[in-house]
Amino acid sequence: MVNLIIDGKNVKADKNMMVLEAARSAGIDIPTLCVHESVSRSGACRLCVVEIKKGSRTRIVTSCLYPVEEGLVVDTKTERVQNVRRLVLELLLARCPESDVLWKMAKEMGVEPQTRFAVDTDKGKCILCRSCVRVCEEIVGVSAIGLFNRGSHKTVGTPFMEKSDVCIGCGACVYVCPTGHIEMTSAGDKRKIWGRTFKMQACEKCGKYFAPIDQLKYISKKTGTPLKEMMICTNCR
Amino acid sequence: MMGSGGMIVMDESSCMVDVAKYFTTFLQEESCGKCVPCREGVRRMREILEDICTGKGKEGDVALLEKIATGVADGSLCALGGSAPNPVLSTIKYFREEYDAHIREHRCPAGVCKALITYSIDPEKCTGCGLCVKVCPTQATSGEKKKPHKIDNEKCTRCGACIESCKFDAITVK
Repeated sequence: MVNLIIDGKNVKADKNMMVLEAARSAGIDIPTLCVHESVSRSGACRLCVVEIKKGSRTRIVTSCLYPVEEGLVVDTKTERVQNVRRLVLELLLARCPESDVLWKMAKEMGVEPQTRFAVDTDKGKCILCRSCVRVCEEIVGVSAIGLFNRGSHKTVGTPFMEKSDVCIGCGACVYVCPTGHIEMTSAGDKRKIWGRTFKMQACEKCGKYFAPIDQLKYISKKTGTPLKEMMICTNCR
Repeated sequence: MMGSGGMIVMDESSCMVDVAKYFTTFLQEESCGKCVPCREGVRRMREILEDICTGKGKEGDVALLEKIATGVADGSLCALGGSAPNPVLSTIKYFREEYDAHIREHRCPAGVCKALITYSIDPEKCTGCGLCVKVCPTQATSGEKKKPHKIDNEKCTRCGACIESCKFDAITVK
């Protein structure tokens, strides 16, 4: 266990924790967008910034990636921290004006949209946090989607924006997306995602369509479980 | 100002808002796009600088630029974002009056920002040699031989070809 001070409070934290977890365990709220329990961290959204003090020097760091240290002094609500968070939200609101998640967050933090910025119309709700790419690579293991171009031209999608052969239609990317940018529609035995239509498997017991056949085949290949044994949905198993 | 260790010498014929725009455009292209302050903040700073250079600057733009600049410097993930606002911050610090001239008076003191300048021919210096008429790509300059010429500012694209061709320094930029 290590001892650190967050917002003047003495906090005890496990030595493997990040500042974000330590603060949350002490009941101190830090806003985040790109942090998800299932995937590795990237520090892309910069909303969780805090100010740390070492000796007489202070520094702005992302709390989601900064490990706790003995005697570390952390401030989560200084003027400098608030300015960065406000700017990030103003910039994201101008990029993704349709995102209700961002609007809710802005309201909670008392941030008004910056009217001087020309609102984007072609970016959807994507904040480019890369959570979907990470889950596809780290958890699913197929790497069907990625990021293209750099800087302000950066976009997320399948290679060359064409139908991906390796996508299994599992929808994990939809699950981790913090703003709900990725579109997945299901109708009958069809599921549409990333421009491809997947055929769904009906549960042999309840008849409900529960997973794309491609996904079941992929799991069967990876785990060695015969495909026949996976025709029953998790509720009926 | 740029942090590359190089030194650029500029005189009064360089517009500092245009210089800030030039470096910010470069940095926008160089940004990897991973973190929000650098990817979005630098782009928005460039948009505002572009507006100022084309006469669409608004009162309060300088304060907003300073606000974005400090946020980008503090919040960015790597050193590129950390130093990207420097061209904006240092030009504002030392040449604030140039920003004000662009925004309030729609005037570019250095005569660089094309949307804010007009060319004219000094009739006393012009000998009517006709060189400027020959080089003008849009036929904006006209006049009889050996008589002072004129520039039609509607047609003029401020390309500067006439200024380069004039041997008598008769063309002035305002």
